[in-house]
Amino acid sequence: MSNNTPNMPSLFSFFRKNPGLYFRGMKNQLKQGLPMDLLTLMGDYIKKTKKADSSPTQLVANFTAGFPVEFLLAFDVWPGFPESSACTAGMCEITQPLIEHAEGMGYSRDLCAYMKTSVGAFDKGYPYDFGGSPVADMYFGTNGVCDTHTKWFENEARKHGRPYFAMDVPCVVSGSDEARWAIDSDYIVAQLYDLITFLEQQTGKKFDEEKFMNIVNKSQECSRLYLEFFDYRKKIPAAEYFVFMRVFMYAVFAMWDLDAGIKYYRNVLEKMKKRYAKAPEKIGKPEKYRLMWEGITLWYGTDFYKELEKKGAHVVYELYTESSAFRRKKTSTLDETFRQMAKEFTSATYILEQDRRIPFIEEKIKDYSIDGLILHANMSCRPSAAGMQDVKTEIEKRSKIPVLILTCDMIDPRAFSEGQVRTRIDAFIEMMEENQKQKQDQILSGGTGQWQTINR
Amino acid sequence: MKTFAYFDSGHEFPEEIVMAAGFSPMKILGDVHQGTAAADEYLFPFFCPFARGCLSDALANSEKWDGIGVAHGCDATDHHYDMWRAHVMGVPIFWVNTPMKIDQTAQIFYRKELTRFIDNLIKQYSVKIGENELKDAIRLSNQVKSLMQQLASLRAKKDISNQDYFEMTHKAVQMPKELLVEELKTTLADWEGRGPFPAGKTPILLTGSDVTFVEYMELLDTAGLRVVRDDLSLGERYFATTIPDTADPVQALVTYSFDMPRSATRVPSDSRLEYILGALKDTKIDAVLSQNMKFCEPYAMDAVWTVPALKGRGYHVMHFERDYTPSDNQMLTRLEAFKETIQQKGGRQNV
Ligand code: SF4
Ligand code: SF4
Repeated sequence: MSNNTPNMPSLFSFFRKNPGLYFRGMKNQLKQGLPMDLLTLMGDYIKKTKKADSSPTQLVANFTAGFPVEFLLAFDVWPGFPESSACTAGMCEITQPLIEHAEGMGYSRDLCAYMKTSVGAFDKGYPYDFGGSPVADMYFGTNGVCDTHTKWFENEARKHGRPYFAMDVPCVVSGSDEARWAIDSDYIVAQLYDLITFLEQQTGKKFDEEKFMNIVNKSQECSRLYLEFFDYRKKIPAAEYFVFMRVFMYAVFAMWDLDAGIKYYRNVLEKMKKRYAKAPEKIGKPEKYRLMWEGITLWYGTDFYKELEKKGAHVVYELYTESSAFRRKKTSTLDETFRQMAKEFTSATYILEQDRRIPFIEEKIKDYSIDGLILHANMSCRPSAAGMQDVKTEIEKRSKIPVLILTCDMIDPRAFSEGQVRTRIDAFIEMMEENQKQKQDQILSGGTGQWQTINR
Repeated sequence: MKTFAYFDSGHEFPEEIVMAAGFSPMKILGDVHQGTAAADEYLFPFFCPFARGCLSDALANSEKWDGIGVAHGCDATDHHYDMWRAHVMGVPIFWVNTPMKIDQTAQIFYRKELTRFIDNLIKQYSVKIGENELKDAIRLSNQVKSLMQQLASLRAKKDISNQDYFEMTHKAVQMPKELLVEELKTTLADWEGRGPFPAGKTPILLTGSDVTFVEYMELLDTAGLRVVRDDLSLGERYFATTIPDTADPVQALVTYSFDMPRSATRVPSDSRLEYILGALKDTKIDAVLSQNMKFCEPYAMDAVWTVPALKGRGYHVMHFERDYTPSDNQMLTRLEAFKETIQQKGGRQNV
């Protein structure tokens, strides 16, 4: 951080002040059973973010999900990602007091709990490991996913008196045609050039096209490797489940060190290839029901996912984790890259319009041999929850699998009613059981095994 | 005259284009008395109830309309659009992508977007929308805006109830414009003849989410609070500026859209505060009622900084979250308490 702003406290000073909280957080992190190499990778980002924060020369930018981090890297600006820190606080299961603290500061109960966790953690002086974030030299937001991103970071930039750049991503609605796309694409590309100008002004450096393209190539490779891993989740049993995936996506999402990300994903893939070749029976867990999850994970819900697994139900595919790999196509020129980026901004699987979203889900149900779909109607995230009733109706009709809508919150445990959720999950599992029985009966009686709609 | 209805979280929808196409634009405002049950089949109860009210309205009344436009504003307009398209039957629906930003790049985009909207209307309805039609529509629109300016300026001097003002802002976006102009002229004559601002009422500026039902305005009057300024889209944002009279009418609409008082859905939204401060200074009032509709993110997010900024400048400010309901007695108690606080702190009783 090049400005004289308060740095985040060290983990040690946090521990001295809050030993109980520290141990609780650590315990909850560890109970996820994440492999050491993944924890080390996550730790590396936290360590380097703290280092950047305390450096007198390193410029730090805070960005929201969906922002093209490659531009920051091209200007040697450290990418701080407060949302990831809020997620970590979620995994530590320490968010409620932080959210309530932010509400005490004037943030409405109905606003996004990522933002409130981050704002609360900052105000209470928590380190990055527990939801805090640095005061950045500049802020970057985009409305490609939600309004919250742009308003949140505008507020932060204003609060700290720092410059702010917002990317306006035109909303793609159902029924959009090529003529509209041409206009939208031009607008996004023009803003990418504006972004370069902004960064040149802030850093005093000239844009280096070769360096940028080099970074983009790496991020494309990182995305490609990350997405390749999804092929192993199509296998039965799948290579990994949701609790792993939601952290596995960090490197491709935050992009702080693309070389490390590429190396990590390559290693994991190598190992996976060998394991499947050698002893596929030792991979995964007995899968009675394969689930798809739409919406953000329940970060505090490690026990919830474990409960599901005990019932033989495993989340093998999520649109949310797939959407974290932004770069979908190799490009070679700057203009081609910008056009492709424009496409990627408006095609993230997390925010697809209904025209694309429903067929996409339908296709993934086939690809991943899905038995049931859980739609997380996330009270924090209205953009992602919109349209879920229609998704339920359509998918039940088209794919003939049960669909459950769970109204919760990704990070605010106050919205999670354990008793209610359990009852609904039990009923959902019964439906999947019934579906499987019907399918079995059909096969036994010489039918095709085509799944039947269940009366309920 | 044919009706072109539109769903708009602010004042984003370019009414003049549908006027030029021969329609009477009508802003969809929902009906708080009918509630949101029809829309709740497709939208969760934790979504903006005003937006759900608008969809319910459309589900019930779309057969009376000849077209529907939805303008980009907040997440509700963006992400509810698909549900409108899927469930509101028998009427063409158009999407107008108003940019969030206000810089040169956004202006170039918006011009293309308006041209595309014009082309789509021409294709859909086989109408002519040329320069002359657009200029006529702009002229009529400006007449409405300037009459509304005159009416609104009387609030601080005369006995104009909150309900009376609300009714005119409501008509401004729902009535056919030719008829409206006549009605506004008659009302102006009526208001000019009214008695002075009543003693005992406290003048305030109202800001935040749009107030779309009269009962809330009545509640404020009952609590002794008189809205003499505002920055609502169903209010001053709609008429504070007029559309420039330039040779290129499409560019005039672009300029107008970027120059009007900012709403919380646009970035940067800093000039929202500037407008509020200017209005407080011009009208010499010192109390602000800030509110947001439950689940309204843009205004709840803005209140986090606008409320302290106003308080820091010495204004009496209160922020409330309100429900989508015509009767709210709890709110009345809180509003009365606000009025008392203003009085105790030496706020002005009247102008
Ligand atoms: S959870 Fe949803 S509303 Fe919150 S920041 Fe993420 S995308 Fe935006
Ligand atoms: S009240 Fe708020 S959330 Fe609702 S439509 Fe208006 S701006 Fe959007």
